Amino acid sequence: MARFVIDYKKYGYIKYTSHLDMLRLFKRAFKRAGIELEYSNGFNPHPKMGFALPLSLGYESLCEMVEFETEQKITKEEVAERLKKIMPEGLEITGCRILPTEGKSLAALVDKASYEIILPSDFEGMAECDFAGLSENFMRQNEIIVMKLSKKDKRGRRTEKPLDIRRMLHSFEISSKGGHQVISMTADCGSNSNLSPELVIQAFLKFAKLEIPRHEIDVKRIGIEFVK
Amino acid sequence: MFEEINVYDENQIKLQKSHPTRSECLKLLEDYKTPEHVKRHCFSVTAVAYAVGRELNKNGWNLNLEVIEGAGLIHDIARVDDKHWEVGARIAGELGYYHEANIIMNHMFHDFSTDGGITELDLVCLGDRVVKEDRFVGLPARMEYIKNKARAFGNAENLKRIEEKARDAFAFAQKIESIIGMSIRQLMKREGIVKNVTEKLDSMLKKVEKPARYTGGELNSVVKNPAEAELHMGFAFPDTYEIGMSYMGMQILYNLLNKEENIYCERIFSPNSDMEKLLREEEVELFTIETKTPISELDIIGFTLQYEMSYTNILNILDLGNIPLRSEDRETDCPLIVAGGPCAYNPEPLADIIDVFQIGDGEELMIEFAQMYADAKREGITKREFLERACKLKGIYVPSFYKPVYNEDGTIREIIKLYEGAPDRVERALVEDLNKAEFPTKPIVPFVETVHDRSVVETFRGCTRGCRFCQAGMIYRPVRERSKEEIIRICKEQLANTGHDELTLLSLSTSDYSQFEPLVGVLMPYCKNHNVSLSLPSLRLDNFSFKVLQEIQEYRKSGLTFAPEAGTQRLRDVINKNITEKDIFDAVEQAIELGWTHIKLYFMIGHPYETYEDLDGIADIASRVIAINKRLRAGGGAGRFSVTVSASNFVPKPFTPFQWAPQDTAESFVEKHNYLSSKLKPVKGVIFNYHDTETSGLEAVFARGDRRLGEVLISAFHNGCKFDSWTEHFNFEGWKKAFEETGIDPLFYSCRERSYDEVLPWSLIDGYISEEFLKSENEKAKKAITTPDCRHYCVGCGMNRHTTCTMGGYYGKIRD
Repeated sequence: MARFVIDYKKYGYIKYTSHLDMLRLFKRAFKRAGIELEYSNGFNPHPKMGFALPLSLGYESLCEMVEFETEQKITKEEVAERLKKIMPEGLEITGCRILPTEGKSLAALVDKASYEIILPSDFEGMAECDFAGLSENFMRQNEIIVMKLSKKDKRGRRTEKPLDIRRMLHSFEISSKGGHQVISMTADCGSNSNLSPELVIQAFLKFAKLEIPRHEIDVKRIGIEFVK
Repeated sequence: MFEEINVYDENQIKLQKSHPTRSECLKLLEDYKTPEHVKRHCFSVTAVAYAVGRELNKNGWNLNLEVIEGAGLIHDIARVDDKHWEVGARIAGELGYYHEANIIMNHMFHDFSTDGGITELDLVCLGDRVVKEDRFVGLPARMEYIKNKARAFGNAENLKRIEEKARDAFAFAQKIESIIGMSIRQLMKREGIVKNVTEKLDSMLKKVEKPARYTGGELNSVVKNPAEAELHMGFAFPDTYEIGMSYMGMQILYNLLNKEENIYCERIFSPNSDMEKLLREEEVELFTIETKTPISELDIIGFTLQYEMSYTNILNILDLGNIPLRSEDRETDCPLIVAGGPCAYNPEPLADIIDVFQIGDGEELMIEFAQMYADAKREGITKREFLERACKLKGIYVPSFYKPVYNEDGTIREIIKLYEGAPDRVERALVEDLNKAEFPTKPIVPFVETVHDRSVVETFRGCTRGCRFCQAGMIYRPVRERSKEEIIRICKEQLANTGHDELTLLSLSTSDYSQFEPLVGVLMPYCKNHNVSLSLPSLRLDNFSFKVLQEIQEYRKSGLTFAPEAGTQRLRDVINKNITEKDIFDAVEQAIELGWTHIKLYFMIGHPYETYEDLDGIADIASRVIAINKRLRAGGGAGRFSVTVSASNFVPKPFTPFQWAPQDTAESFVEKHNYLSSKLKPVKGVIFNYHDTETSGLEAVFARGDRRLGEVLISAFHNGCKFDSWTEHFNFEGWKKAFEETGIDPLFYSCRERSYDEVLPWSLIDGYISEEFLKSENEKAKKAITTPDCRHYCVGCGMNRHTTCTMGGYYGKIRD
């Protein structure tokens, strides 16, 4: 049995396909590519396949990973070739690697993730902003408190709780790229400590006193780091 | 003809020294305190007129663009004043802008030049006629708006005058379009006056739920360059993406149409409310899924009519596309609106809205029709000329070629032909050999989860059982089977091309396929080996089926559905549902023994000749199923067992033996629901569901309605009705108001019994099933006499007068 990981990029309209729909998409893609996944045992057998880190709806990514297991005799080059041929536009297979069969899943090893947050080229108040200064001051804060919605409780209710995101945020810089102000950030990610870029966006806009609507901002994942 | 009032004569204009510049005009508007929204209107009108003028000049005309700009910008400067054109003209005239003054003076009532010339006044007026508020909507939409105003006042003479003016405007626009070699809309797009959908789409998609419904790019979706296609069309499913994408008919026609090299067929769905709200707010026209083309730019839009309660969604789609709702308002510059599907068998409620109906099987007809349209486009003939040609195709019904005349009591006296060349009766299109009707092996696989996410292969069309309430069982006759080999090939290819993990067979009655056992014998192991689950709906529950179900549902024995349809043997005989109580209980017994823990029983309420005894029968069947379970599983696991009784309300449909029957009244339905509820409540383990009465009533109105209902539909749409089949959207008040406003009594259509000699609204349509057969079936129903499945012997439905039916006496044939 072998364990593979496929690296791919996600961009264009397909960024509007959700995590769950991506799971179904890959399941079907493996079928079409003639790659037989290992199935779990039990009442409802499901294929042994998983993403390193779910990607939020609407995000692009340069560094997506999906791992799977198969009994099939197949090389990593062959896997990549077969999938490249059948992936829809905007899902670009960049490589395939072999992982040791034992050990934790990639999802369990994720430690940090980096993103680019692309602000609109022009928005009310942006012209007056000193983004370099703002980002420095933003990071100089000892704590950055945001209100975070909890998961639904038993009764389906969600509550807002204050959360300090400063300690989870490792870097935050703004530079000008192609006429846009682009935030580059790295934050904790994974089951131990996890910070969503959404909270960073929310905190920074408040800090910079900008009222840019969320739908004017694009987010792209540019890196995932694993526990050594 | 309106007499032009020129404040200044030609000599004065010749002496005019200068024209107002843009900044001067802006200052004038500012000084006069013209409201902002009027200013925006002026800017848009000017942008259009200027762009057209410049394009004309490129083609050798010599229009004064300065005049167009100046006059356009201040044409409504005094919009808030009484006789604003006179006031505006005076303002311009006093400043020495004589030419502009003349244009402002005449812009309200101008008749477009018909002498071959084009003036600056023409262009400012054209701009004014294609812009609504500050937005380019195009001539048809603008003219519809003006006509609707006249319609609302009910002044026939006024309406006639407006119609004449609209015709002149269209003629003028066409003249310009032939000079500049493109449509005005295309020019507006090129000039950036009409925004490209894609510019706004990205931010819109971030604001809606499940955005992947609007993005396209799904596996197996077809991408072509619309500019290279001779015919660009859209297949529209008037409901959400998830429902539309589960409908196989769309996939069949999409595949066939796109195989034609010169045709590009895209998909259109009803946007969900959040997306609709955004489209309206951002003033973005509804677009096709594949290339995001505004639907108004298509040559043809084809709607599928699967259920009556989707009709308001058709209007909403047209409206979102800025396309006039009424066929008569779409003379030029509009897509041809076509509709087909089962509800097209009574096309009349949509007769004022749809240009062309396609009756019957679409595989051959749709292609022939589309190619005929492509030819017509090449030849440049008018819509009318095309319709005259198209109505000669078998299966094509052009409603505007006919006109019903009514009796005093509201029934139809006769249907007269308005075009001599139109057929006396429209025969349905029929695909005789299903093996030659290509079934898709590469269906589109949506990104989002749809209602049915699986591979689907049609095994046969039609049904021999002859249930008297069932329209599908009548209009899809005769039974035409696809060969076993062909089905297996399509199944395998589809699974390979989609990667689906579920396969289902499509027909009206799965186990009636003549090669059912051998077919399942091949598919079952194939699916097992490929980790695909096989699902077989509407099985006849005999021993073989149970064996199959055992195998394919190893772990998931959750629910098993039976459809006795009626509670007593007498009523089942009335509706010719040839299933006995013994059949039901034997099957239930077997199911329980094999471990099923949930039984669903499906009934209809309000069948003709139904009594309360028949309702008691429903309760009795449910109780006995519970009792069987208790007996068989005494002591073990009985607690988890449940029976769901679902009752829908009977809706009489055209082309069935019950097409003359009255529907139960709403009051009677409610009483029956309450009665059944009280009967079923005490039975432990029974869950009772029933269908909403109000929608069933409306469904009955439109199922057998006539042409007068078009106005009700339009009125209901304006009252905010849409997604009528969705409980959360259903707006009964809007419908009630629509009937009141139009003075139409819904009960005339739903709850009235028709006599055999009444002219039925769909009598123009020849569904091939003979009326004598339908009458005799209705008479037999009254006496509760059954008619056997045609496979025993031919029951004489009339089908073999038109085609070969291989099923009549089929059982005898295979015995011999």
